[in-house]
Amino acid sequence: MSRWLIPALAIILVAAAAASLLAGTVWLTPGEVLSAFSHPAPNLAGLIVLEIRLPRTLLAILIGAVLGLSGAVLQGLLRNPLAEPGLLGVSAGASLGAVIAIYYGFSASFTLASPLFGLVGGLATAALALLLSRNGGTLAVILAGSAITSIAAAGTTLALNLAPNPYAAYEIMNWLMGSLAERSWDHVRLAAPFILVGGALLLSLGRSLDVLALGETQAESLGIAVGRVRLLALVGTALGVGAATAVAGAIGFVGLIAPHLVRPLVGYRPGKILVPATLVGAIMVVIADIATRLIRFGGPPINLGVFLSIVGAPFFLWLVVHVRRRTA
Amino acid sequence: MSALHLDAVSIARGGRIVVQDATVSFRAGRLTAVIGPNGAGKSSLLEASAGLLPLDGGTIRLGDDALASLSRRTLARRRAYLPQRAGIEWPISVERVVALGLAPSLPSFGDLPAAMRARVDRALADHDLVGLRDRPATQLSGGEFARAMLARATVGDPELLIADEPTSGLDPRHAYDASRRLRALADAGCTVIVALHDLDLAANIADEVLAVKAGRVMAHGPAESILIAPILTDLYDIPAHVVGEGRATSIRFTGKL
Repeated sequence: MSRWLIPALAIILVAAAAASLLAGTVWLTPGEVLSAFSHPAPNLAGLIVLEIRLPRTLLAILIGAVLGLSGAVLQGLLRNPLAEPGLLGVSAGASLGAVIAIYYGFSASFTLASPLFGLVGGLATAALALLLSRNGGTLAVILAGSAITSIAAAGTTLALNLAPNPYAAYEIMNWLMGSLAERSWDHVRLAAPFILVGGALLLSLGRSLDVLALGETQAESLGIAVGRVRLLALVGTALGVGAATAVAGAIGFVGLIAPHLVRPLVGYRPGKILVPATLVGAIMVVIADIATRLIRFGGPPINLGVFLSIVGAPFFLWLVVHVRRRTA
Repeated sequence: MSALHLDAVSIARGGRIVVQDATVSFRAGRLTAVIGPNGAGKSSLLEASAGLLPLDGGTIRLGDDALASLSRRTLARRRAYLPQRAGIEWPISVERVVALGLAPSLPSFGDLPAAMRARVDRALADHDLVGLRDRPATQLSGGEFARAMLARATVGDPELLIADEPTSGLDPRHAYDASRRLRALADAGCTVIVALHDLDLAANIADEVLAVKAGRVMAHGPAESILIAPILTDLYDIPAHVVGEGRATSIRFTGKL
């Protein structure tokens, strides 16, 4: 079973990514997409594929992948099935950074202002969380993360409250709902390096996470530098999830759910989950992004973060009930 | 196989000295029971002996090597440590849990090499776990789990095994079973150090006994010379009576209620 898991997930991801190039307000045929790749021409199909849907699909893959991976790493590190990337304050910090850019109007004069500010915000909060928890253990990391999340969230609501005009408030709200619409190659170029480096750091922790299933003391006794693992997990999450949130806004539940979907399929081993959770995260976001393009309720399109919350929240509820039953 | 030497070891925790000036040698092939009242510093002494706690003073040597000079991985290959209340967080199969004991010898990526699989099989067989190998470790009974943890600790063939209360929470038969396995390890040449609260069990399996009180080594020597009424009375501050001798020693305490 587990031997076929990764190839199967990779095939599903490729299929979903291909569908993402075809689907939308303007439906394309596979032939049109292929000719756009082989003979790039400035016609409608070529522009849609190369300038709109390809960067958008790549971003969906990168963002979903790093969210799923980071969730899997954090659940393994904290040995808690309810852990998720937002726990460390990185997403809230990135959101606050982007909101500041919108609030002060930087994003109106310069498109990449909100992702850049978001990136800075995410990295700054991660550094702060690290600083606050440097002498403590895993619990200190969680507490520092949740405290910083509250502070960043307070800043975000303050910005909403004091928004200079309804448009700014609308823009902030819209950004907070998470979306991949109107993202370009510039966003890919900005986010990809951070996501790839962060992802590589997180992927390197597999073996350590397996051993951490025995608890921190036994892991230490088996030669795992638990403090170093914690640091790498935090830095990897800050880079990857910080960049993801910076370009796409707040996208919840992927990091929480993706590991749970594959955990039973790899014998619950925390290290073996990493690659499948990465692929499942990418599949989830690519499919959700297609859904946001196709599902219309007459009004404006539904945002990616909102769609994932609507699908993800019931799952979270199921998880809480399920986990309680297992531990009761 | 190597002995473990503690030389003038002091340990501080949270700014408080918990072990002071402990000089002890644990010989290879011997099983030493560490006894003493709650809070005496047994666990700290064991944890430091495993190289997992920084020393406030003194040195610890494993054979000829200073513990502090060994790399994490080398140390992890040479000594095994079982903490008090060892647990597992995910429903991982018993076989995989035991295989985690080989982690210090594994490459960073990839599956278990075939040669190591044989060692896991042997550890499973040695600890009566063959029938349970695919069972999630979270579903084991207390006795089964203790066996799995012991198999995890010994699968790497350590020179030194340190176990903190491995029999606590076990019924008499399983406590005896776990002790028998520790005894067998010592007989095979491993240096075994075990913290125990069950003094009858200590008398039954230990070659030597180390009595610790208030962070200091109170007495250390062959089991029969330490497990005697005057020392135990002094150690636990409650009148002790020793009945029988050798492996059949039975120890009772009488306190006024």
